[in-house]
Amino acid sequence: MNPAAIELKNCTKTFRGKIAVHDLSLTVEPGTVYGLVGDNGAGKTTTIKMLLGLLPPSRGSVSVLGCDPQKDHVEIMKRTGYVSENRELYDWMTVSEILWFNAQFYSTWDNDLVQRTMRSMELNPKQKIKHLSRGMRAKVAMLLAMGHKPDLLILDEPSSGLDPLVRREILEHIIAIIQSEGRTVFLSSHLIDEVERIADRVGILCDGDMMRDESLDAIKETSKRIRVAWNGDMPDPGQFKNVRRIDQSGREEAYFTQCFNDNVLDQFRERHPASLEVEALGLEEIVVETIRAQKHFLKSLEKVG
Amino acid sequence: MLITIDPTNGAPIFQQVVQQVKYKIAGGVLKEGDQLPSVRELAGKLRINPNTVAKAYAELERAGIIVTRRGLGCYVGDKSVIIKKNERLKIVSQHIERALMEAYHLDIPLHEVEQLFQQEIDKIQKRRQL
Repeated sequence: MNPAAIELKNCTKTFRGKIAVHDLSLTVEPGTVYGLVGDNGAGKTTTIKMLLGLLPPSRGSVSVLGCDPQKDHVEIMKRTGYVSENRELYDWMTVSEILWFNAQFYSTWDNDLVQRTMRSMELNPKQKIKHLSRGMRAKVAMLLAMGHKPDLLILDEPSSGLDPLVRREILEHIIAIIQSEGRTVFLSSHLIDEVERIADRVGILCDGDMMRDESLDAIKETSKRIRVAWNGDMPDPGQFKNVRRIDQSGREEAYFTQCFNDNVLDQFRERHPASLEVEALGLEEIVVETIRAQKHFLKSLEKVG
Repeated sequence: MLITIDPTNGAPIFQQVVQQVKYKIAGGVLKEGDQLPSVRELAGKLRINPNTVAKAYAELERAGIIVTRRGLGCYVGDKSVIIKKNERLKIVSQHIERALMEAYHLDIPLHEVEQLFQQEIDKIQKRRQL
């Protein structure tokens, strides 16, 4: 049995007493794609920096490809490709210079692969980095991250701020990387339809807390919208368990649940509604409702406290 | 094989692939013995995770709809004839359901719908006899 590609155990990271990530545990199996989603400031980038050894966790343990990122930073960088959110590159170099420069750090650098990919990305090797468009920069960053054929690719918002054409291209490259056996991809994104296309497993972060950490299919099967219409008096929405009312108009109501099963439906059935429907949701709606429910819950705690 | 995936659709993506392959077989677009694209090829084309395509193919294989010939690829199996019938019935019943909904909203009572249905059947049969 291979060790997990990534394993976080009860990781907490605080900055000057403020909690950025709280008691986070997650496991990424080798050869799978993990998508981390959440609103801004949820702790996605902090999590990624802990994986790379760029930030030590305040508490808990991190293991990446069987190594401790704090102790074996070099080993992890050898076997990992990383594209940061800001895609920092040396502006004064040309495309071919930066590729050559990067190649020097890796014994596993595959120049044929890089040249081939560079041509398919329609990058001009003679062009200076500072003159590249945003989309071209993203492609260069992607090339630099995959040239040494890493076991693990970590992408922080790989396609934010890019036009749909470039986004597609980047996505195709990510898929090509997954195709090569045993490669693991960990990506954070708020472009949820991307995550929905490629992730095996999804983590939803909200204010530093992990709300869900499950296979994408399991999340979809358990997260539903329930539409109900009543004949006479409206029941008190607070009495229904494991659901949250998200909308209401006239005698119609919509509830959101994260743990859909027959018991959840039965509590509505018992009150003899005029109609009762269950709707499947896309990941984007699931993420939005999950985060909303959590924020609502936190607010209600404040009121009590 | 042309397939369209809607990742924002609530149904898991592998199920969308399974459904569409089934529909293509039901509709006669894919025939017994036809080769399906490889996992690699389809994942690249749809821009989805290859694991998802593999999962869909595994499900289709378990249902006996496709068969894997080692080293050669996936093919539409011979059991597809039975599946074909079931899937066809399902498609038709969905259309009938939609027609009945429409009838309800247009205030046409069910017994009149039944008569209409019979009329249409008669029409088709007459056309066939000619």
